[in-house]
Amino acid sequence: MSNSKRAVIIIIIILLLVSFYESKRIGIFCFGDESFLCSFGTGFSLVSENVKSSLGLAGFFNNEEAFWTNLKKSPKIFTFYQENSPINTPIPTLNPTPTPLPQKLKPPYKIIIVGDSFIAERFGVQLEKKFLQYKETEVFRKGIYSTGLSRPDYFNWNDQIKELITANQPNVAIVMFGANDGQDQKTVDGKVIYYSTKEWNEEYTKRVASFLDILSENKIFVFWLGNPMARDDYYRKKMENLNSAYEAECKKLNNCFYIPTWDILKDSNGKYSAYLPDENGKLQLARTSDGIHVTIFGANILVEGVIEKIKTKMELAQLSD
Amino acid sequence: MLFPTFSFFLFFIVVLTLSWYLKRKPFLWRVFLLISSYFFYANWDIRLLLLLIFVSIFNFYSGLALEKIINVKKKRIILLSAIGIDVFVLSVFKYFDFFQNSVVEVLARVGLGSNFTFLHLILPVGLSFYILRAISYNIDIFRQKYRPESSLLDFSIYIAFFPQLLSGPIMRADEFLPQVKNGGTKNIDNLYENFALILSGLFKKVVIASYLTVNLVDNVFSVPENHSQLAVMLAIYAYAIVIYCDFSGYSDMAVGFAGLLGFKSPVNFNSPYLAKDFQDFWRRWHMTFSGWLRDYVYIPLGGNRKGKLRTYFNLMITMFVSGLWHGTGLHFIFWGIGHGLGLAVSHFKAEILKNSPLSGSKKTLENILSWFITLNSVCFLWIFFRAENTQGSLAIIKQLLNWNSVVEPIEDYSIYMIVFSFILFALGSKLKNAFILLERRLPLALQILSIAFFVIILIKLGPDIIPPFIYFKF
Repeated sequence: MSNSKRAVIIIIIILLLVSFYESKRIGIFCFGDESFLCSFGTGFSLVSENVKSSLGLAGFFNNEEAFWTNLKKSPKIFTFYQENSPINTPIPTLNPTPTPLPQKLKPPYKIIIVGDSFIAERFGVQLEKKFLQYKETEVFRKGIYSTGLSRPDYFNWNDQIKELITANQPNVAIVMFGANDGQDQKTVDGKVIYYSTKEWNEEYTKRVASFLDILSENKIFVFWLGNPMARDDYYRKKMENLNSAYEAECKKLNNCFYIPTWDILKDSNGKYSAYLPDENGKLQLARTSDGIHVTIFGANILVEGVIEKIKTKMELAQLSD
Repeated sequence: MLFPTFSFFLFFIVVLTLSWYLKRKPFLWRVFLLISSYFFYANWDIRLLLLLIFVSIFNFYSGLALEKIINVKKKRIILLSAIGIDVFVLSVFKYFDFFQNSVVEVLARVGLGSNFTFLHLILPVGLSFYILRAISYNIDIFRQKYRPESSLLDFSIYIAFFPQLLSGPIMRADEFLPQVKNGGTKNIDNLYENFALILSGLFKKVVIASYLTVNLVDNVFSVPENHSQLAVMLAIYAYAIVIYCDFSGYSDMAVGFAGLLGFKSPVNFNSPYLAKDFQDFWRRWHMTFSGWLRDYVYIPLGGNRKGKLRTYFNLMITMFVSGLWHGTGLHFIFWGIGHGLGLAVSHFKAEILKNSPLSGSKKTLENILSWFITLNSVCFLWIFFRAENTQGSLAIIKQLLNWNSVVEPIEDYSIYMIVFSFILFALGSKLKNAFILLERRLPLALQILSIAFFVIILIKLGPDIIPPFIYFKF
């Protein structure tokens, strides 16, 4: 057999074998690519999951996944603690059942900022930097690209937040999701719930509630940030729908404060604008070319808007004061 | 469509199968190669394809004109115009952000509104690389190194060949074009070497680069003031590993995929962190790019033929251009100048040692010391390369020198990964050879199973999120 034929055979069989074995992770290797080529992958993934279930192999694959996850969580022998830090003193407890909404939260604060690409880059970075300017405030940020609450099969934020709580013992959480969530939802066991259906809304609301439950159980006060206005109608409608879910779920709890960001980046006519004036009135690029994300300039505007709202609930004093 | 994606592998299977099938009909094969490359590129953004086609056609005809015209003065004008237009195209897309705000403001003042998102030009992926190929082609024709390509089809394949389109290696026309003629090679020469390269590239990218980026580098570099001195130091070393694994991983895969299609590509990396000085580093790092800078910037400036001082000056200018090619920010310029200084020091040291060479144990000690200083200097300069801007670079350096920084837990896995990576860099070629030897001895079924096993292991070891390739933004 010639090497060229051999190469073709090897690659075809390997793609099938690996895609079958790693069916839950095909999405990762699509890099958010929604092309028709990748839809073959997601289709194959569903078929593989069904075959695994029908052969009674689902348990094996779940255990195997858990094995690798545990393997990658090595004990932290390189952990050090700062002895003199005023912030690492005992973690303050918030009023466990504040009614109706808590009075201003008392410092010191241990804040975790979590979410998708908004948190992973510019906005999250600028928000983290902003908190570093305040007294008695420690902040930890975890933003993960291409994630959200729609696809726990791809990235499970409920598991992640539990780990982050254990590691950082926060008393305040700032949460922002949505940029990737306007898509069909998959349950952990692979069931698909199609977007724009009543079932989808119900399932998504449940996920928001379940995420909030974890934070509530740990007596963490939550600032849930809505998404800013998007350029394209297609995304705008998705964002509006998601924002209303966050707001509704947040309002049910005493430890959650919803912060709408929809209007923070609008122009003087109340519309979406890629460019916004700076303090000198000079126009600066505020939004990225996708019409969703923000530039550093836009991020700073967003941070100021959000911090203003957060200050109504937290006593944030500048380090230099 | 990135290399380590399901979509790409599906695309590649179709291209690989049809490519070998069509080899018997060379013209159809070449048309197919071009269409495949254009499909691959259009998958990013179909509008970018027009630019790629424009660059191909323009440089094809400028090459022909350079041969036709005999008058040297006119020839020089054509060459400079061709280079000028290529550089202009690159600059418009690459450096547009520098002046876009002013343009928008003018438009807003004349009542054209402020919502011109199209003015925020995205850098067409791969543009920096295919422009360098086009420039080298024109200069080589001018220097009469080879004759211009007579087939627009073949030249377009040279510019757009998909495995090398996005991030190189930057092949010269006289290396690539003969491989397209007459249907190219009729069989794959080094099948298992190509598989080894693809697997090594996947491992470097999916396991090492992705893990360190997601878990250490990105967090520390974005807000260094919120991290400990130890974390900052580790993040700098980690970034040195990330940039190497990310870029050389891509190059390995590019060479491997091209190899499976029957194309031989030049080596782009050769254990750069084992370099004993900056000169040695640039002979091992992004070799097709450093070769390009040598042939088309350093030598035309006079190289080392015009005295010592001029040599140092030429080195500085060459590395300044290198910095500018990577981006417009001052931090890239600092990075380039830093490397220019490093190269000048290497040359100076070589001059001194030429007159009084070291021997025996002194030589060994000098080599070790020189390697250590080079490695740490290169890692230090990566700070400027990775940071968002100069301010960001200085923030990292400030935190690196902050002995009262916060203390934080560092994930062990990141430390293991850093140590493991350096060991792997030292053992890389031995592991590759062992893999090739093993695969050659196995029957087909076991070859498939063993490769599938390696792929699954590397997917398991990687993080859940794979960040995009770093060099796509250059």
